[in-house]
Amino acid sequence: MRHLSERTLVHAQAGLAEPAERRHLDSCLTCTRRAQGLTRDLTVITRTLDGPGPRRRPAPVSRRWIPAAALATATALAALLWVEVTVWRAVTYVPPTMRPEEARAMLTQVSAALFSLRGDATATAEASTEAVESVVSDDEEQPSECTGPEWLIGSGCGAGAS
Amino acid sequence: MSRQDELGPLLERHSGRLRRLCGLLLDDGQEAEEVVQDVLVKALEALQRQGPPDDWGPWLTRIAVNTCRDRRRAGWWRRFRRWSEPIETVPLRHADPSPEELAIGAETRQQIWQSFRSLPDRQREVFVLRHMEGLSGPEIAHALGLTAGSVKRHLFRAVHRMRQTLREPA
Repeated sequence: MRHLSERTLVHAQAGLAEPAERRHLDSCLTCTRRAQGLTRDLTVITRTLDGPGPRRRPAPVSRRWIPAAALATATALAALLWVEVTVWRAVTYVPPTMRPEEARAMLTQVSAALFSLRGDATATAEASTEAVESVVSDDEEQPSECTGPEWLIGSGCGAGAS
Repeated sequence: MSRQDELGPLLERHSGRLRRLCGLLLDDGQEAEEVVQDVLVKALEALQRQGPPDDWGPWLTRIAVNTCRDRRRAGWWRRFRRWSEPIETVPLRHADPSPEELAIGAETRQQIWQSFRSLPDRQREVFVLRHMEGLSGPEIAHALGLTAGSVKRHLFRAVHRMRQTLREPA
């Protein structure tokens, strides 16, 4: 004979069991004893819950400030991020360090050096070096009209300024 | 006899039961008192709007359970601040233990309460409505808007967890 599971006993105790399960419970001594044990336990539990509950431990003062501190930290971080992204970048001028022609020439030189087979690309690399040098010498020939630190705060000066 | 007059004795009859129900669901006597007041206001409004319900008991229970659930969702900050027990609820002297309290034992009671407080909201609601309020399965399903299968599942999990507390050594 197969006895009722604890789940079925709980359902039967609550009046939610199927008729076949109820019939088994009525006829099986073992299941009846188990059901009585369940009822006893539930009586203890409900009597306990019917009375006043034990006092909860009050939260330590430090723990009460955790949400406030977390909120303040998050706000400070958000403000810092906003200053960095919006304000700081708006007021700071970053001078261009490399013109497109220079970058292109340098990348050509690097790729030639990287992908050359037994020095075949040497000529290409040399040509690129010459191209870079010519660009740089062109720059040097152009006299700069900047006389002070204007390039720091403006968009540049002289013929090369955009 | 006006509708408000007929509401008076009715609420008197149910307010104690609702206070206990909300106290168990919220674990806060002061908030339970506020919820009972809310339920009474809602009952009065419903009475004026659509007349009395077929059965006040389940109707009030359903309103109370839903209001408690709204409170739990919305009032976390207030409860957090109020975590330290208000001074007026702290008994000035230790009351004599009842015969039940003597029989069960302080350690077991503590464990039962701890286990009850750790139950998920749904399991707690189903357990209280079945074993403290004496509602039937279909009544619980109707009050909580659950299927009969869900009620059985939540009830078994709650009872199983609470019984485990009794089996564990103190």
